[in-house]
Order: sequence, then structure tokens, then C-alpha cells
Amino acid sequence: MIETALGLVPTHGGAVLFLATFLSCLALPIPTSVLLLAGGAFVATGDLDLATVAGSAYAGAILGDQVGYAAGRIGGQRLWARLLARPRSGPLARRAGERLHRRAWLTVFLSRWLVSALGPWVNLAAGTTRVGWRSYTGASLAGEAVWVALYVGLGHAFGGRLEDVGTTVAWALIAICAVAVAFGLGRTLSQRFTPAA
Amino acid sequence: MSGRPRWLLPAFGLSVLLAIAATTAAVRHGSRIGDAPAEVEGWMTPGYIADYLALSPATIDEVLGRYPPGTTLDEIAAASGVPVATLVAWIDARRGADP
Repeated sequence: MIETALGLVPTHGGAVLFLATFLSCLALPIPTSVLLLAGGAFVATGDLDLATVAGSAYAGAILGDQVGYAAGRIGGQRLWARLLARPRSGPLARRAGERLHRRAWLTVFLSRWLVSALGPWVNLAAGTTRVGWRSYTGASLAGEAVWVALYVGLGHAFGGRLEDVGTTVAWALIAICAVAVAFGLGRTLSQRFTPAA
Repeated sequence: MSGRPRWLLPAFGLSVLLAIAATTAAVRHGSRIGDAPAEVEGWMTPGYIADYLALSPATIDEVLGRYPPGTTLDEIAAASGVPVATLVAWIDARRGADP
């Protein structure tokens, strides 16, 4: 299946990358990172041009984010109100919503590229909990730019070894996330262990 | 220490273990980039194959002929009537041809 998808990149170029990034922002299981790496590799070999590859991937991702956010904003309200009204889930949902609002920019930005698996769900949550559209869009524009630049750039540099590079990048991103979580939990632990003055 | 959730310490331990495992995997995979034998596949273009096998584009053009950018090996096989496996065998025969 991946070979078929890779074969579409040089022949259909921008359209395939636009569609892949758009659909992956809506949580469809598409190997978009590998396709972006391939896009970068085909730029390096002269089969595609950089503006088409980067521009169409970026446009698809931004549009996908906006659709996800709008879906949450329009369709998620009733579900969110029901969650808040429940005695058990209500306080938890309220707290999660408050945390998302407090760190909306960073959460949206990092979920575009560092923990991209969470991206579609963050889109829905941001729309549902009414994170401001300007703040959301700013973070989405910045985060997707990092995502596209990272993968197209790596594909351009190491194009001949797409799968090796894709696996290495995936592990490196998991490592960064795990270090960040460990750091956060470690800080919470040390604060809780510190005796009150 | 009062009020420390019971899951906090195990979660911290797990995240440290995951961090170590993922870093090790990233370094291991990163250091092996390019070690596996290169296999030519139908989705590749002549330019990609040249880059992949460290051959000059002229050498690949000699084997496959000249095609517009973005043409894959599958398309070349369909256009020329030569099976992909045969094209791959011709390309494989030229491995190491360029200094």
C-alpha cells in the first residue's frame, strides 16, 4: 500500500500531498510523514519543485486544521455541554478545558509536528472548548510550517533512504515527548516531596 | 508529600524507561541509515534511482532511456513493454559502474 502511495507522489505531486495532509488532519490513517519525506526526495532529484511540494502540503494541513476546528466548534458543543453537566466527568472535563485554554498556543503548536498523532483530536478539542480562532490559527500556521519544513527538508537531505529516515525521526520524536513527560512528572514529584516551610 | 497521586511515581518511571528506549532506538536506526542493501522498486523515478544507488543520471538514462521528470519505473515498464523486474535487473547490472 505504501509503495502505491509513494508512486503517486512523483506522478501527481502537489495534489497527492495536499490531500494526504488534509485528510491526516482529520484523523484518517495516512502515512503522510513518509509522503512528505518522499516529496522532499523528489525535489532533490528534480522530479518535483519545492514550491509545489511544500506549498500544497502546507495548504492541505492548514485547511484540514480549520475543518477540524470548525467541526469541534459547530458539532462538539452539545457533547461538551453534556460532559460538563455530568457529576463524574464534569469537573474533569472542566479542568481539561481550562488547561487547554491556558496553554492553547503551545498545545496546538506542538501537536502539529512533535506529537502529530494528537493533532486531529486537539483540533476538535480546541473548537469544542472555544479556544480563540486567532490564537488557534496562529499556532496551526507555525506548527504546520515546522512539520512540513522538517519532513520535506529531511527527505531532501536523506531522500535515498526514506524508510530508515522515517523510522529514525519517529523514534526521535517519541524520545523528545518521553523526556518532556518525564521532566514534567519529575518536577511534580519533587514539588510534592518538598516539605512545606 | 501529602496528596501525591499513587500513579505519579510509576508514570515517571515508565516515561524515563520510554525515553531511554526511544533514544536508543533513534540512535541505533540513525547510525544504520544506508546499511541495508538498496532495492529498486517500481515507485522510484530514474532520478531517485540514480541518487539511491549513487549512479550518475546519465548511467540510468543509458539503461532506461530518457523520460520526463516524475515518471516512475512502473510507468516506464508500461510504456516500454519491458517488465519492472527486467528493468530492475538491468539497473542492478550497472551498480558500481560509476566511480
